Amino acid sequence: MSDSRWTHTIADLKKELTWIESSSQGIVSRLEIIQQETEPLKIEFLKHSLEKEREALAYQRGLGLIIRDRKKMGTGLAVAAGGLILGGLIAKDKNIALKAGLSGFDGVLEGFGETKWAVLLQKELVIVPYDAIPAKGTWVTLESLMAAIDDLEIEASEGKQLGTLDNIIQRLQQSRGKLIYIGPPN
Amino acid sequence: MKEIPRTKKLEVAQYYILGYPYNDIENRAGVSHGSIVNIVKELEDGRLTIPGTSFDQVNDLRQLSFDLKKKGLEPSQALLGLLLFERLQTIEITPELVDKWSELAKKLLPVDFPAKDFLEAALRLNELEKGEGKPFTTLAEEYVRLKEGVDKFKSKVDSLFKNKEELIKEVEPLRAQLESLERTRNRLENDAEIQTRKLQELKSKTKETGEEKSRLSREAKELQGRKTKLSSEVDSKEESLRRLNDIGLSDEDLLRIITFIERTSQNEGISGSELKKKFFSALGLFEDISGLEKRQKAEMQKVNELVKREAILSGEILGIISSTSQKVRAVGEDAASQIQQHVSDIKDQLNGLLANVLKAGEAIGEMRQILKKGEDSEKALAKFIEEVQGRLGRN
Repeated sequence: MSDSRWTHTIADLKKELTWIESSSQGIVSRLEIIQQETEPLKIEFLKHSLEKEREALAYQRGLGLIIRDRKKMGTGLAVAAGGLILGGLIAKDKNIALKAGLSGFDGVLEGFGETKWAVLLQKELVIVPYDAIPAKGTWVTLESLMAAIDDLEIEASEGKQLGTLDNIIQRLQQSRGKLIYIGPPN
Repeated sequence: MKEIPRTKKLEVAQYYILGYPYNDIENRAGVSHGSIVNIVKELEDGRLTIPGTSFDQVNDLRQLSFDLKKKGLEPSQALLGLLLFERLQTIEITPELVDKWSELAKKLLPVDFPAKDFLEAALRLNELEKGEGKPFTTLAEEYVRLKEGVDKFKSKVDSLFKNKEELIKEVEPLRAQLESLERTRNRLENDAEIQTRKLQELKSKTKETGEEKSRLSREAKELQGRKTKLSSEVDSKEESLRRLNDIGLSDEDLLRIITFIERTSQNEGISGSELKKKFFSALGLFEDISGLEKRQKAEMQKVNELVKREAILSGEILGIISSTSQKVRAVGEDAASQIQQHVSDIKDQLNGLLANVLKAGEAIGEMRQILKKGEDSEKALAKFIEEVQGRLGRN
């Protein structure tokens, strides 16, 4: 190999290696950003799951109230369902009409079942209405738990590692300043 | 006027209730129009009764029959209508609300969405909600959210796979180039080894030449010693001749010496042979001295020739050695210098390249580490989601 070709090859190799190095560093920085988003995602998912559980319980609770007191609730619900379906039909789309109507109907059901909620912050996360808190266990209000979780989310977004669900529950149990404890009804 | 029997009257009443017009009743029952009018009047007055049926019901039944005929319906179809009416009553839709209910249903149903499809869709939705234990909105929202999450993760995974493939593609040619460089380096090392071997051979030749020179020097020294020895011997002979010459001995002197010897022999009474012996002894000594002189000259010539030859040889050897040494040294130094320079350049370039490779490798290693961390985080997140879903059981 001649000197000029050799020098040219070495220069090309250096350029490619420099490019590989900078590309790798770019990928590293992007991967670091993605990894940093993992911890806040955990908290976001925990909040979302708690909220969905609360909504499902409220729906069931609302349905139970209607079955128990049908005469009282029946007329109001029928009017709500009919009106909401009619409202959906304005969109001229049968699926949207059906979905909108039933969605509104569910909202009404949830509204009937809505109340204040308590959470058992132990190995199992249990949500119950205020009027159904069991005698055993240490219960906190769902609102205060959500506030404590918000604090954790801020820490997670600043890069703090939160670990497993057990670690998070332990940290939440230690947030005594934020959590509001409630006892079972006498 | 003849009284129409009760059975005939009941037959007429039956046709009347079934809603037949008077003309048909005349043909069917075989009675006159006036008789039919009278029988109907009897029914109205209550003089003609059908057991278990009041007149109001008779009228209702006739009216019902009329309506059915008018609408072309059979009694079985009317029965089906009654069944529907009962169902409506169970959901508290009273007759006065039926029309409104029908209007509302027509209004609610879209043109392109038949009532049957609407009902089936509602039933499927209800079954879905029962099966999942969640309202449709929750299911729809969960589906949309999970789909978004899946799309997001899929997009990230695709992006990571793409990056990985790009890096693999980039590393492959680099690896080939590194192998090429390795081969070049080996070749250069072989060249350097060959040059080093040649240099060693030149050094070896130089050493042999030096040894030859020292051997010749030793021989020259030996010749010089022999010359010195012969010179000393000749010197001693020359000294004897010089002394004879110094004493002025010539041929005449020798004759006179013979005469002297003969006379002496006679005079001294010593036998001639004894005196001759002594004389030849003396001549022998003289001959020895001449021979020695000649030998001295010959030896001197040889010594001079040897000295000359030694000088020539020494000069030639020194010249050859000097020239060869200089050439060998110059060639060796030049070659060594060039090789050293090349090797130094290549070493610098390879060091620079190695530094770049190390940096790139370090960056790739760092990337792999962070990728591994990312995979760990993904697993941890998936596990976390499973734990949350598992532990958030309904109370």
